[in-house]
Amino acid sequence: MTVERLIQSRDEFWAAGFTGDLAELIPLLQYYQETHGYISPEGVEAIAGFLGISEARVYTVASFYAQFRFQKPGKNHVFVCLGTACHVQGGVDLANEIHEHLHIRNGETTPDGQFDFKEVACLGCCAQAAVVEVNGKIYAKMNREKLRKVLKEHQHA
Amino acid sequence: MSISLSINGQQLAAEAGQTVLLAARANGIYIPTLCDYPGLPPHGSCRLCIVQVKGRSITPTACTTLVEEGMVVETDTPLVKELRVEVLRMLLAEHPGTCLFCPEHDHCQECMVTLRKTSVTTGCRTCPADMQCQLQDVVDSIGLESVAYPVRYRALPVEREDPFFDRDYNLCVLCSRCIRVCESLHFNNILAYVKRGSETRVGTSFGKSHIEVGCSFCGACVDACPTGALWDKTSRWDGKPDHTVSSTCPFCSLGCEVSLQIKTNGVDRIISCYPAQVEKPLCVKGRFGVPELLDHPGRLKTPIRISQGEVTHPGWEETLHLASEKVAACCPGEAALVVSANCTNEELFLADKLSRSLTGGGTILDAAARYGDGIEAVQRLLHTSQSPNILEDADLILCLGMDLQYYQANLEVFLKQAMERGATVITLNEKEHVPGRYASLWLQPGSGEVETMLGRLAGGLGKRDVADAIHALKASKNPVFLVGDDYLVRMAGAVEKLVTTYQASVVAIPAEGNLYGALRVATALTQPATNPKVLYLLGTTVPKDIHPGTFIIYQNSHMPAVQIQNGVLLPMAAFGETCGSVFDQAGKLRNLTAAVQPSGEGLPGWEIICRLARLLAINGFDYVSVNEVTRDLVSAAPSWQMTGRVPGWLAAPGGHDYLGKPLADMVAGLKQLNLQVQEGK
Ligand code: SF4
Ligand code: SF4
Ligand code: SF4
Ligand code: FES
Ligand code: FES
Repeated sequence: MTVERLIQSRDEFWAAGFTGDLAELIPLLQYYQETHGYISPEGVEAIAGFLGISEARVYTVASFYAQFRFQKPGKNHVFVCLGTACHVQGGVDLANEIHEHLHIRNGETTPDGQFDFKEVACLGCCAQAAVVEVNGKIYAKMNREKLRKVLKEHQHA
Repeated sequence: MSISLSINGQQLAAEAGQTVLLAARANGIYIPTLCDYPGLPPHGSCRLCIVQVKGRSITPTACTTLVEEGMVVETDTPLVKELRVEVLRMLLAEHPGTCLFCPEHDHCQECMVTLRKTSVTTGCRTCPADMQCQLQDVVDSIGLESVAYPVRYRALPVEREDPFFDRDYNLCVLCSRCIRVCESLHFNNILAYVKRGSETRVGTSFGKSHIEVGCSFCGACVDACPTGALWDKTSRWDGKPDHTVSSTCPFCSLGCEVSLQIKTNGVDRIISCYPAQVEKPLCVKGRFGVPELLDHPGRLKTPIRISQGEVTHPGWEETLHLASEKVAACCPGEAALVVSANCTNEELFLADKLSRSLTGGGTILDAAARYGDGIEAVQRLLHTSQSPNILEDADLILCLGMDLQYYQANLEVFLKQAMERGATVITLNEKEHVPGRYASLWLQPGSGEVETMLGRLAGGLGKRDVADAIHALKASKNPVFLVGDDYLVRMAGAVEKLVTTYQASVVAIPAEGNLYGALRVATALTQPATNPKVLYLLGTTVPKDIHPGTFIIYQNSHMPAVQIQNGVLLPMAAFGETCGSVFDQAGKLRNLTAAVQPSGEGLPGWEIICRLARLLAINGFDYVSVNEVTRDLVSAAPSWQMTGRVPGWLAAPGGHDYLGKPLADMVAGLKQLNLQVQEGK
C-alpha cells in the first residue's frame, strides 16, 4: 500500500473518531467491516498502518473472531443451520450440497459473487429442522432437492 | 542472592529469579522442552517440561516456575512421565510421525526405502529436518515408541514461493518460537497465529508471501524452529553437521560474527552460515548467501592459461611461471595491480608489497572508481566511524541514505529500541525505505536534492520538516549519524560537513566487506599506470576498456564475467576456504576462518601472491602461514594516504559485490529481493 493510500485511510479513521490507540483494534475492524462489507487485505494494511503495528498482528486478532469475514459478501446470503435439531435432520447434507453445488466452503463467496455461505449453530426454529436461511427468509424442512431449487430461484432473480 | 533447592534428590544452588528449568540445565539435569528458546521469555505452551514440586498438587511447567528456597523438585516421577507421554501423544496427533517411529528409520539414510515421488512432507525421507529435529530428540528422550491417536494431517500446501526458506506448516507444533523471535529479536512481527481452535496455525496476514509483508529474510525464525516446518532451501536433508567453525561474514563492513556448520562427505561439502549467537540475527546476505556463493557453477577451479583466446590447463607450476615471465618483462610503470575492497587484509598487504617492488607504486583500489572524488571524505569518515553499539546510548539517530529492508536489517533492532526508549530517529532518504514509515521524522528530498537538504541541515536554515530536524539536532546531547552506503558513495563530503557541524558520532557502513582494511593496509589508492602491459586483477572484475593486447593475471574465486584474450586465471580460495582477517567499519580486526578445503585446485590468495613473488625473486615473501602475514600487517604503520588518480580504464564495482561480481548474480534469492526493491517502491 502506498504512503498516500495509508494517509487517506488514516484521515478516514480520524474522521470516524478513532485516535490510533492500540485498544481500538477490534472497534476498527468492526468499523471497517461495516463500511466495506468485509475485512480485505487492504483493510488489514490500513489498520496496521494506522495503529503502527504489523499486518500479522491485526490479522491474528481478526481471524480469531467468528464475527469477521474476509471475503466480499455475495449478492445472496445463505446460512445453513448445523445446530442439534438441524444436524439430526440432515443439516450436514445441506452443507455438503452447498460445497458440491456452489463449490464454496464455510465463510466463502462464489467467484461470480452470487452467493456467500455460512454455517450457523441454530437459527431458533428447531421445530422446522432442517433449516436454511436465504437473504433473511427461513426455508423449513429442507432436503437436498429443495435446497437446489431455492438456490436456482435466487440465482435467476 | 543464592537459593538452595533440590532436584531429583540433588542439592543445588540457584539464583533468585531463575527458573527451575534453567537451574536444572545449569546442573546437567535434562528436562525435555520444545517452546523454550534462548533469549525469549518463558512461554509455557508445549507443556513438556512439567515437573513435580513437593507440596503442590499440580505439575507446573519448569520453564515458567521460579526457584524457591527449600523447593523439592522431581523431574522424572512415574506421574510426570505418564503426563509427559500423554502431552507428547496429543502433540503428535497433528504431526507426521514416520521419521519418529518407522522401524526402518536408521537404515533409511542408506536404502531410502520410503522414498516417495510426492513433494508432500509426510515422513522421514522428505522432512528437511530429519536428524536435526528437536521433536525427534524429545521423542527419543521420553522413549515414546508409537502414536496413540489417529494422526490428522493438515494437508496445507507447502509454501515455497519466497526465496531462501520453505514453510511446511504441516510439520509445525505451534510452539510459536518463530513468532516470538521475529517479534522480540527483530521487532518485525511478520508471523502470527491465525484462526483459532483446531484450525490454528502460524502464518502471515491473509497468507501473503513473506516478500509482500516486508520480511527481511534474516532467517531468525528458521533458526528458532524446532521442527522442519521452516527450513533453508539449501540445506534440506543435510542431517547433523560434522563440526562448527566461527568466522566473520564477508559481505559487508559490519563484519557480523558467524558460525559455519560444515559437513563433508567425500567431495561433497555442505556449508551453512548461522549467527554466532541466536540472539543476534544476521542479515539475509550473511545468513543465506554463503552456500550458493561457494557452490556456484561459475567457480574457478583450475589454473587456466589463455593465449589469443585459446584455453589450456597447464597446472599451477607452469601457469605461475608464465605469469612471472610476463611481469618480469615489464618496465616499471607497465604493470598495474588492482585489488578489491572484498580482499582480506593479508591479500591486500602482500599485493601492496608486491606492487611496490614491481612498479614503485601501491595497488589500485577498484572501489576508488566507485567513490570518485568523495573517497577522501569517506576515508576520514571511516577513520572516525564507531561500532553500531554506540546507537544504544544515542538520544538522536540520524539515518543518512540507509535502507534496512534487507541488507543490514539486523541494525533495525537498534532503531526500534531507540524509539522505544524515547530517542528521536530521523531518516533522510529520497526513496521508500526502512525505517521511513516508522521513524520519528522522514526527511524526503526530491530526487537530486539530497545534497541541498544536507546543506540546509548543516547551515541550520530550513522550513517545515527540515526546521524540525535542525531543532532536534541542536537540542540533542548525543547525536549519532548512521551513514549508509548510498550516501557514502554519492555525497560523502556533504555528510562529513553535517557531522562536523553537529559534532555527531558516526557509524559509517560501507557495503564493501573490507574497505577499512583496503584503505588502511594498502597505502595508495591509485597509480599513474595509464596503459598497462600486464594487469594483475586481485579479486576484481576485468575492465571493459582495456587494450585487448594486455596480459591479464586474473586471481579470483569465480570465473570472469567477460572473456579474456590473453592471460592466466588463478583459482583463489573464497570465504570459508581460507584464513585471514578484515577490518570492520569501526576498525576492529576480525578473523576469517578456513572451514573447508578450497574448491578444486584453488589456493589461498596470500599463498598465490607469495609464490608469484618468489618466482620473481623478490625478497620478503617467505611466509609459511597466514598468521605471519597478519602479524606483519598489523605492526606496519597504517598510512591512510593516497597518491595518484583513478585510471580512466578502471571499472567501478558495485557495492554488494563479492570479489568483483554482484552477489545477486550468484545468489538467486538476492536477485529476487533486488527486483522487489526496484518495482515495489
Ligand atoms: S526471516 Fe526474520 S523478519 Fe522474516 S519472518 Fe523470519 S524472523 Fe521475521
Ligand atoms: S513454524 Fe516452527 S517455530 Fe514456528 S510455531 Fe511452528 S514449530 Fe514452532
Ligand atoms: S549485516 Fe553485513 S556483516 Fe552482517 S550478516 Fe549482513 S552482510 Fe554480513
Ligand atoms: S438447530 Fe437448526 S434452527 Fe435450531
Ligand atoms: S518448555 Fe516449558 S512449556 Fe514448553
